[in-house]
Amino acid sequence: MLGVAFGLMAATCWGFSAILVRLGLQHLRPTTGTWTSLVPGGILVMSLAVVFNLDDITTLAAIAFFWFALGGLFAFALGRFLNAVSIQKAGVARATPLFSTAPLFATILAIIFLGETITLWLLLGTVTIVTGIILITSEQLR
Amino acid sequence: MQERLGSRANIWLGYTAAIGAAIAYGASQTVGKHVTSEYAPPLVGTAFSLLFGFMYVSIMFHRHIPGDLRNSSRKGFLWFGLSGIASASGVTLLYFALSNSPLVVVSPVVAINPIITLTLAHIFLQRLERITKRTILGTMLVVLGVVIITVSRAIS
Repeated sequence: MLGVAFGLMAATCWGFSAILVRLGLQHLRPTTGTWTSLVPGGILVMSLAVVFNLDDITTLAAIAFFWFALGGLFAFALGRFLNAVSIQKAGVARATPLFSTAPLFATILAIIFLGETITLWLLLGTVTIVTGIILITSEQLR
Repeated sequence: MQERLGSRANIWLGYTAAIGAAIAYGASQTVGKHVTSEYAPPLVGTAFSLLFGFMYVSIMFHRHIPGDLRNSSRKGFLWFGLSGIASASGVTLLYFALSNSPLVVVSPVVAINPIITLTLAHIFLQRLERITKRTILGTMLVVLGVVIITVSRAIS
């Protein structure tokens, strides 16, 4: 039950984050906005990592930093910036459901690079997501 | 710097950017899975990825940042700063969630994030955003599809 409560709180935090980005874009462009958002977030997460995982940090392998750099490129330099651009151009309501499809792409990449198998559930989920995207994106064409 | 939505080209650019963000986040999840299984706990991985992300963004947008720091409204920095805190808090809470319950329980709960966002947009952005029944229905289908994929992956 505690896990569900924390999960709901996480989802609510991300919801507020998107709303705050929309408000911020009224005054700041996505480039500087993305940079600004990384400062307090980075300080918060790094502080928590030092408090809870100091031993793990001091024993990190050098190769780990290559993967951290790759993760940072995808999640923050590309993901967060494109997220801000999409909110600026299409609005929160239309952009959020589209970039919440990340698990679909994670699964496709896991099939390609990690050897995971294609299942009937994956196909069903994909069809459902694509139907939802068509509904959202076709609205302006009416 | 009041931003207006509505031009068809702008909206399609937004959709393309959103799918680009989804692919980038998907790639980061795949990298994250490898990092957490081989090298570091999730919190450490996220902290260092954030640090690298900050360095990339500082380099990529070095032409915009100093000028905006001098000339742009402080409100923009406040909203984006708070959004960064909210986003980082979300990541931290997700780790707490996963340390208390299995992925199969947590992932569908977290996947409803777009529905929460639509609700918050309806409450706080009434003057900026129009939310239609079609957007709500499309969002619910996307959430259902994401839940099907994440739960089936967590079970298998």
